Amino acid sequence: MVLEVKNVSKVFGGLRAVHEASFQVKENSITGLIGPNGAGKSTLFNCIAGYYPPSAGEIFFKQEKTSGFTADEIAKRGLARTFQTPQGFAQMTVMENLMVVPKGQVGEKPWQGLINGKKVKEQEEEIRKKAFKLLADFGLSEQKNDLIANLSAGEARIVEIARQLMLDPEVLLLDEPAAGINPALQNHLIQVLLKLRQQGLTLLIVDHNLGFISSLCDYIYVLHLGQIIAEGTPQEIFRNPRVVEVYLGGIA
Amino acid sequence: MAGIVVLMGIYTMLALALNLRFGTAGLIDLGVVGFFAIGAYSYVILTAPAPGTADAYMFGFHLPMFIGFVGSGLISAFFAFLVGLPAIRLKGEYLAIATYAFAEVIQYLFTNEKWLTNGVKGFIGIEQPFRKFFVSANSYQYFYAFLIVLAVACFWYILSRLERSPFGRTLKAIRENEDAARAAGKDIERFKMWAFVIGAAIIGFAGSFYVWFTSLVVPSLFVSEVTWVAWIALTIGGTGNYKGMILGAAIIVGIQEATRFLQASAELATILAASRFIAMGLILVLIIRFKPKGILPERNTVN
Amino acid sequence: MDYIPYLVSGLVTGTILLLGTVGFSLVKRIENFLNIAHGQVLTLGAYLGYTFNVKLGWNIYLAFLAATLITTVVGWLIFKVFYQPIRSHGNLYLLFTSVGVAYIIHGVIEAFYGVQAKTYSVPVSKVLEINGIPIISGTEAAVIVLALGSAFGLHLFLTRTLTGKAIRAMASNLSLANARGIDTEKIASVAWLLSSALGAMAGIFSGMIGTVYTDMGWAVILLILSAAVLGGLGSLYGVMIGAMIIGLSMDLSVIILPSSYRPAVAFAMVIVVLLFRPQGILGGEGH
Repeated sequence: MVLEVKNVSKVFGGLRAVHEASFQVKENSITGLIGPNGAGKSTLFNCIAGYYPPSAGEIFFKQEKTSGFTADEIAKRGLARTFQTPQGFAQMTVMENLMVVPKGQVGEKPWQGLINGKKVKEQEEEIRKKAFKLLADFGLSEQKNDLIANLSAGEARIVEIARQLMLDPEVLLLDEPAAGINPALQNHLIQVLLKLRQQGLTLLIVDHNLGFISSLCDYIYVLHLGQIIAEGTPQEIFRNPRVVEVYLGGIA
Repeated sequence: MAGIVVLMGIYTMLALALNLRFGTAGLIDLGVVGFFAIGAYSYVILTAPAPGTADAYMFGFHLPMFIGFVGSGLISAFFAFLVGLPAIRLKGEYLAIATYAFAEVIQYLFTNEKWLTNGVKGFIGIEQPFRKFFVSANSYQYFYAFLIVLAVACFWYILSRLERSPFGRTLKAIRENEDAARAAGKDIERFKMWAFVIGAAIIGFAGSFYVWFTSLVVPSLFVSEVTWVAWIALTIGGTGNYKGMILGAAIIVGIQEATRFLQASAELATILAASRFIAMGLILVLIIRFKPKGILPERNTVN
Repeated sequence: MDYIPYLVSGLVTGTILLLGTVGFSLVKRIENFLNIAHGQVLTLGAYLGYTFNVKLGWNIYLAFLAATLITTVVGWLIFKVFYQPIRSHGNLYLLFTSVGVAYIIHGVIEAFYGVQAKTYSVPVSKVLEINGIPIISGTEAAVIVLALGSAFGLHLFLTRTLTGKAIRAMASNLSLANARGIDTEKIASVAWLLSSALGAMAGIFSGMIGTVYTDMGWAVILLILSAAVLGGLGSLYGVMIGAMIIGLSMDLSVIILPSSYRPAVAFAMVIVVLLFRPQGILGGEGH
C-alpha cells in the first residue's frame, strides 16, 4: 500500500467534515474517492496533501507517517496534488510554470543563482528538456510561451497536471479533474491518465462524476457525510444498495 | 547637482530592495526605514571613535570604514532575520502593519537609548570614503556621486541576475500563488525569508551611503516618510522594472529639490515646503489612477 | 492613588482613539483596504475646529459641530474623487492611493496653517480633586462622555436602523449583501460619511485635550492601526476594546517607562499580538 489513511477525522469549529475515514491506495492503481457534494472529499484530500492537519487519525505515505507534515514536505516526498479549480502561476509562462517545480534545484539557493555556475546551467538545461518533453506528451508544445492567465480552463488543468509531474511523484492526487472540461478534452485527459499509470504512477481521483471515474478506476471508495460507506470495484459500487440510495438516489 | 544624483541613487537602492521584497516576492513591507536606520547606525557605531566627555554613547569601535560598510548590510540583514522568524508567515496587510510598527519602535529606540545612539544629538562629522584624495569638498561631491552610480549599477546587476535565476523564478511563483507553490514542494517561508533578508542587506548598505552623504546621523532622519518615498518611487516608476525605479526616484527627488531651491520669504517657504507633500501625493494618486502598473510597467519574461 | 490621573488620561486617550479606529474599521470592512489617510481626516477635523474656535472665536461646541460637518462632507468627496474610481484595481492600489491622499491633505493643511502647533481656546474648567490630587478636568470628562455617547449612538444606528443593518451586512459579506439587493453604492457612501464624521470628532476632541499639529495624522494612524490589529482588523466592536487597551496601556506605561516611549508601547503591543494571535485579541469575525 503506497498510501494508507487510518481513522482520519477533521473538525472545523463544531462541524465534523470527515469522521474516522480509513482507506488504502495500492501501488500503480487508479483509485477513486467519490461522494456527493459536501461529503467531505475535498477536506479529506486536503488532509492527505498536508493543507489541513487532521484532527485525529494518521496518514502513511510509503510507510512513513505524513500526517502533521506541511504541504511542501509531502509534495517533495512524491505525493503530488492538483486543485479543484486549477491553480497556477498566472503571470508566468507555461514553460516557467513547469520549470519552477523540480526538487533540489541548486540555483534556488540565492548565492548559487547569483553566480549561475556550470552546475546551475546544466540543471536548467535538464529541467527545460524535461518540461519540453512533458508538454509535447500532453500536446501543449505550442502554448509553452503563453501566460497561464491566458489559457482556457481545460488547458490550465492539463498544464497543472504536467506541472505537478515535474515533481516526479509516485502518487498523483487529482481533485475533480474532469470538472469544467469539454468532452473532447476529457477523453484526451483519460488517455493521458491511463498512460501515466502504464508508466508506473499511482492515481487517486476525487470526483462526484461517476461516469468519468468508473471508466478509469480499479477500485472505488464512497464517502458520505464524512464517512466511508462502501468500497469495491466499479461494478460492485454500482450494485451496492447503500450507494444507490445515498448517492445515485440523491441526484435523481 | 551631485547631491541630486546621490539622493536619486539612494532612493533607487531602497526601491530596488523593495522591488525584491514586494515586486518579486509579494511581501508588503512598510518597514523600509527601520532597516535603513539600522544600517546607518550600525555603520556609525562600528566606525565611530570612542565617546568624548560630552557624549552619552558607550560604544564607538573605531573600526575601518570597510568593516563598517559590510557591517551595515549584515547587521540589517540579521535584524530582518530576527523580525522575519515570527513575522514572515503573516499574510498581506498584517505583515504590512507589523513591519510598520517595527520601524516605529526602532525610531523610538534610537531616539531614547542614548547609551547606544547618543540620543537626539546623534553622531556628526562622519568621515567619507576616499575623501583624503580630494582637495576640495566640491570635487569630492562629484566623485561621491560617481561612487553612488557605481553602487546602484552593482545592486542592479546583482538583483537582475537573482531575479532571472531559479531562485527568482520560485519567488515569483510564490508571489503568484502560494497554494500552488506549496503543492510544487516549495517551502514558501524560507524563500520569503531570503527575499526579506537580502532586501534588508541592500537597505542597510544604502544606510551607509546615506550616512556618508549627510555626514551626520540623528534619529529624526529616519521617519516613515522614507518608507513611503521608497514605495512611491517603486509605484510610479513601475514595479518590476529597474529603469522605472530610477525614473520614480528621479521624480521624487525632482519634486523635493524643486521646492527646496525656490527660496522665498519665510511665509512662502512654508507653502513651498507644504507643496512638496501635495505634489508627491498627487503624482502617486494620478499614476495609480491612470497608469496603475507605473510609468514603465514590468514586461513578462519569455523563455 | 497616584496612578489615578494616568488611568483617567488613559481613558481619555482610549475613547478618542476609539472613535478614530471605528471609522477606520468601517472603511476597512466595507472597502477592504487600510485607509492610511484616515489619520489626516482627524487632523483636518482638528484644524477646522481650530479655525472656528480660535480664528472665528466661536464657542467650542458650535465649532465642534461646524468642523465635524465640513470634514464629513470633505471625507465623502475624497471617497468619490479618489477611491471610488479605482476600486476595481484592488486593495493594494487603494492603500497606496490613500497614502497619496494623506500627503495631499497633510500638504494642504501645512500650506494653510503653517507648521506651528495650535491650541484651542477652551474655557479653563474645574478640576475634580481627591486628597489634593487632580483627578479629572471638566474638558476631559466632557470628551469621555461625548466620545462614549457617539460610540453608543453609532451602536444604536448600526443595530436599530435599516441603513445601519445594511452596513453590517455589507461589512460581513459583500457579495451576499449584493445578492440580497442591498444598494451597496449607497451604503458605501453612508459608511464613508460616518467614518469621516467619527474621524473629525476624534480629531477635535484631541485638539480640546492637547495641541493640534501637522504631523498628527501620521502619528495617529499608527495608533489606529495598532488598535485595529489588537481588536481584530475590521471587527467593529473588537476595535473599540482594542482602542481602550491601547489608550490605557500607553498612558499607564508612563508609570514604569520613560514617557518618550509612550507611543512605542502601542506598537510593541501590536507586534506581540501579531505574533501570537494574528486574528486579534477578540478576533474571529474577520479571517
